[in-house]
Amino acid sequence: MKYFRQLLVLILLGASLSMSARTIHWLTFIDTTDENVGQIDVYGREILYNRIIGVVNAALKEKGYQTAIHDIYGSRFSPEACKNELAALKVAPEDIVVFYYIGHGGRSKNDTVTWPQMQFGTNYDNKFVPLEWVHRTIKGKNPRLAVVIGMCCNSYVDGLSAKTTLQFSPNFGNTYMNDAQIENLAKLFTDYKGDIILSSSTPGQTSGCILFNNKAIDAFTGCLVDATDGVMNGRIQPDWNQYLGAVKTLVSDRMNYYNDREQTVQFKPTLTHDPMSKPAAPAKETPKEASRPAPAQNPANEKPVSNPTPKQEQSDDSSAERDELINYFNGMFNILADSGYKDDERIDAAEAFLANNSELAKVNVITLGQDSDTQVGRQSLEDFVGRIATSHLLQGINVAGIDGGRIYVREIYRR
Amino acid sequence: MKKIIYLLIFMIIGAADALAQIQDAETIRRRAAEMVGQMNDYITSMADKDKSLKTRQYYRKKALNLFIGKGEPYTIDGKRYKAVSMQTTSVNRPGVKTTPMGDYFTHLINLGYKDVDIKSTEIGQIKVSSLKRISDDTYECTCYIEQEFLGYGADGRPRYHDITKKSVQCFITVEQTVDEPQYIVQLGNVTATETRRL
Repeated sequence: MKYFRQLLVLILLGASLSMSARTIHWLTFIDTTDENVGQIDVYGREILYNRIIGVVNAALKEKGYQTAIHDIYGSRFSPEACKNELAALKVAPEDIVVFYYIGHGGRSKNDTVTWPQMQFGTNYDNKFVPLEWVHRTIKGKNPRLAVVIGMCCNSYVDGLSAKTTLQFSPNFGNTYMNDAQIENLAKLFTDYKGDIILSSSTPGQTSGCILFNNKAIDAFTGCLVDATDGVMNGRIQPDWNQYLGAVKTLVSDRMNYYNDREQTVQFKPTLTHDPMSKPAAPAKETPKEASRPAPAQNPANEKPVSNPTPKQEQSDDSSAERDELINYFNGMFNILADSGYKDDERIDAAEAFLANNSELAKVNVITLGQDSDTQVGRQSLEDFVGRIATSHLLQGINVAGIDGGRIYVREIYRR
Repeated sequence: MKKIIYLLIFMIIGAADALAQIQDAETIRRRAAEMVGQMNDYITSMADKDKSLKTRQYYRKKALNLFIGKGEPYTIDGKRYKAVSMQTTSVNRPGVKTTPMGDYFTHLINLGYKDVDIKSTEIGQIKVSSLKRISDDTYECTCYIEQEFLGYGADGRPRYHDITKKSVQCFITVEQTVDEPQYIVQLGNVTATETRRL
């Protein structure tokens, strides 16, 4: 982390970084420490990032989107974190914002909206976060598309008061895509303007679990993966009503069949069909490097943050810096891997980055398997950067984590 | 008969033990296919006369990183091996030619054709054998590809066109870390099995 701490700024390696006004913001809040569902949600997080977020980011790269990830889990998972992240969220007019919550939830008998309140690991009634409030807050920032998903129970909780807004003050986580798959998935996110709110169950219902690849996961996220695959492969039209309708059917069928329970996904899209065009040619100018601000003066205590487990401790400072570093490396790696740039320009950019960050050359980059956390490769950052800057096969790189001297990545290949 | 039964039992237990050491064999086999795909990409790029010589020489340097020993002699389980090699064939001559990988890449960069087009099996289509244990911490598998070579003369007309079946040896070294094992996949020798003119 010592080396990374000196890089808490963005180096503009590409015109697309400096000129692109398009970002997809992922705000994921996942309860990985709960004694009952924590381990299930650990797996849910892995699946969400590997099978949905990673492939969507790779597809949206074609439309000029960069990625900003706010991955809140472990000890950072709290109602305060939700409020702070949303307060700090800056959104440009062509941005997409996806909010995804996995954890406990419920509703009051006096709630008048159909959407649940998210528990965020708290036992305090006044700190439950209404999904409706999140939806309104994100809509209020006027992104091009806002998708707000609450994967939690929507059953009645005795003693829970009705809420549509926050009630506390702030003081207080091996894939291969061909051109058609990329295009289908990108269309889902860039052909529509507006907003969607969704919860994984209707009033009075709980949200249950199923087995996915022989591991327990919440049914909604598992079915969302299948539907996303359906969109990519043309079985489901890249249309939000059809996509979420398919998820609803899958969840209902599987919960009925495996658990003999009713679970009905509800969603309300307010969308217009407004296809977005690809960014103009200037996005592919020769990469330039901006001057680099001075390194951080007061490094916080360093704590290694390895792959998440329910018991993993995280300090707020170190995990916030981790998110920034993840976003930085995501941006940089995806520029270097972008075969839309000329070969020699990518090589020059890679060499410039390594020359300016020579202290990082020996940091290890660990490649993870496509659908698992199996570590299938290890290279120095120097060799890794050299490889991705010379590859014509990569659709995208996803930084899965940073852990004191190691960067974990997944590579998505073009078919 | 008893000896045969004991031998069979011993072999079954041995095979099961070997496989039990690898927790996610399918993921590792896919990774091997990805590494071979990257090798093919580098080969195509090194032969591409539209790219500058400097760029193609840079690709050569990066391509050698894919191989065990990075193109130099290497050691497995205390045993020393020569640098990995590439076998090439031609419909114009019998037999195979075996060249150290670094030299093969240099030759590829300096081919005498006006233009060269090399296409290989896509990553998703590469067939991979099962993993075989060759030492305490090393496994091996083989990836099977087809490579189509088309060389053009100064007049822009094809002068040579063939397709070759090749087998790519892959080594998987298991290294134990504090968290979990790391499986380091590196490429080995490439052998040519069959060539036909197109």
